Amino acid sequence: MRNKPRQSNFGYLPFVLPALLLFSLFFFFPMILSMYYSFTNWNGFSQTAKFNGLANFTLMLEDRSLIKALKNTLIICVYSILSFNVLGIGVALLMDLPLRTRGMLRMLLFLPVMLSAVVVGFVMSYIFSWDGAINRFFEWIGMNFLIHDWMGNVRTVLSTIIVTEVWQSFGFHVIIYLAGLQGIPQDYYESAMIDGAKFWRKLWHVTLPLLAPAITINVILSTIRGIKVFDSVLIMTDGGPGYATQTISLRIYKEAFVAQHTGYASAVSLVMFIVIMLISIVQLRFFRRKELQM
Amino acid sequence: MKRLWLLSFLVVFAITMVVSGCTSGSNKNTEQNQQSQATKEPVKLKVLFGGDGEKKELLVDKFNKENKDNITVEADFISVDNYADTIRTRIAANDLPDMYTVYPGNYIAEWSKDNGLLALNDMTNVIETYKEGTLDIFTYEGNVYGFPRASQALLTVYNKKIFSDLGLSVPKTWPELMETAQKIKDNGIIPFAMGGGTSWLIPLIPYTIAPSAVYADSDWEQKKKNKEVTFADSGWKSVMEKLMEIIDKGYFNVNAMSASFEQSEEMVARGEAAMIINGQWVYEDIIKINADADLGGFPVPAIDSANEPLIVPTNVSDAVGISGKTKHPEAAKAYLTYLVSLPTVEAINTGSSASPLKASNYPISPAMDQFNELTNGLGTYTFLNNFWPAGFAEDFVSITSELMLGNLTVDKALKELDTLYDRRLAQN
Repeated sequence: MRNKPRQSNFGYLPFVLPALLLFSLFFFFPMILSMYYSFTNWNGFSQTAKFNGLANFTLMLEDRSLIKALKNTLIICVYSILSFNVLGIGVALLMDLPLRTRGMLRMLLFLPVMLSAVVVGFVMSYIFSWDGAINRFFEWIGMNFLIHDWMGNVRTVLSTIIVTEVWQSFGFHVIIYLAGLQGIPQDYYESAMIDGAKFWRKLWHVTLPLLAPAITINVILSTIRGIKVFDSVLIMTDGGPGYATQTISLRIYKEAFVAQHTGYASAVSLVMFIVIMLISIVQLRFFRRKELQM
Repeated sequence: MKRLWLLSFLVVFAITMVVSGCTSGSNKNTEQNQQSQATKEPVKLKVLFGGDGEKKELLVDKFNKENKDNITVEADFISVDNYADTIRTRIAANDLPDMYTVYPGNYIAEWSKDNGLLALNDMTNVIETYKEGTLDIFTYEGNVYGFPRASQALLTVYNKKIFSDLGLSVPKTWPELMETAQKIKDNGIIPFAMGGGTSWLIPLIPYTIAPSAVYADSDWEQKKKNKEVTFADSGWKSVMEKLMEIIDKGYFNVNAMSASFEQSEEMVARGEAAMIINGQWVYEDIIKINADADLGGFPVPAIDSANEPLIVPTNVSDAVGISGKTKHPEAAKAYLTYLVSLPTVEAINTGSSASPLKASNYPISPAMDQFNELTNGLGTYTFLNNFWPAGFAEDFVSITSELMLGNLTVDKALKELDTLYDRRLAQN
């Protein structure tokens, strides 16, 4: 039997190499270097870095500001996941109704996603300020007892960050759910109707199972978004007052570029990378299993 | 197939290593620029200023036009926000300009290493023009590395009309200041405007009290680095207790921890607040909001009785230094002499900052003029963060904020400061 000639595999190389080069230069190589620096006392500028073993990692366990930042990041993450997914599915169902104005509503919903995070941060910090729109509204309707220092009070300042983050990115997640809803064949709903299923039963037995892939991707994306939160915190509060809105990303930034403790910042980044990777793997496995079951 | 992937990866990796390993690494001065100053052949000086962009005409164009030494200054003006990082990057890349803005204190120690800065001890004709002590924070191991062009102070800027309406006079001691604040509060006016939403304002009040309470021993900072003293067991306790007294008695605006710097200035401009503890730069800003504001200035009376010495926080800044690797040291010195000459210094400072030169005698602003009159002959101490380890100033803001929010007691806050100071010192 004659052997078939081997096919040439070089054809795609010219198309892949430029992207691979850029990826290596700006992501892969710096990531490897960062892993190396996490075991040193590098200050970000000097040409030498002294190896200090696990000192940076053990410091994390004693660093009060980092522990507080971790707690704040988890709170932001949990509320983000709930808002983007529970509320997101609800709003997507509404947007899927045959309303005349649904095109315009969808556009309005997606508009904040297109705004710059810096602009949103500045505007929201004015809205939540003492003389801002929220307090002025309460004054206008005669409910002065609701006037509050939203961003100066440790009990409410984190909520202002969560509201800002959710407001800006909500539309993005709703669009993914909307796309998922529109991919569900109407036959299933017709069958369910024939069987006498009402809204909640249709939702539980038809909509949610078939929306599983969209739920998977949205939960993972909203988790990553919650853990990475940075822009709004930097612009609105700079991590304050005190440690009230410190987040992991902000701590990494401050340690690397303000305190010049880049080795330590690299160590924190490495730990966060591993944590995000593990969470994503667990979520992916969980939701994929659920998809298969459904 | 697998070998091909491996080969592709290795090629890409090798290219990446080569590309990212390349640095400019070379001194940008070319053969053409290596001209002898003595023969008055054309010399180009590269200068990097942090800020001051609006003063280009005075700082650069005027010199280029008038100097007879055939020196041409090519200046870049960059924002102060990332200036220190820019200089550090250029030091690491061996790409310093001939001259650049230098920051005081720890920055001098850092930037003078490896010939980053030229010692200016031989410029005695310039050194003699400075007020005593003003060059100390630009001196490291006996060498002067920068000549400052402005000086600032932290003070209380106050509304004179509110004071005169309420029959108040300038307080001379801390108890008198608290009494003054109480009278102002009793009349429905905010005693002190605080913009705690802008984080760098948080430590200003401790910065004004600590020189008298702690740094009467001018070696305290060095003793702290040597672990001979602690925050917890020093005058810092009284500093933080004074700060908490203002908070506990409700002398700040209700949104003290979220108002911005600009909002705090507006409160004083509109007469909603009587006083603001800040740098003398707020005078200009408040006048821009309300040109009719009648403002005065007095030192924060951080002493409990008139018998104690009051030490005032002052700083010199806007210094320029010369790179130790410049090929044109004499030309650079000539330009530096111009930059810190009396006419130039007074021209750039008029209306805002004071001058660090002995011969200067010009009105600055009503607030600063009154302040200078009241502090004539008093001791001074530099802004505290000039000699703190990198990163500690930020920690100080966080701990002071936590204290002001009630999340820490004074004792716990001071212990945290000790822990963080030692950590930052070890990291550096």
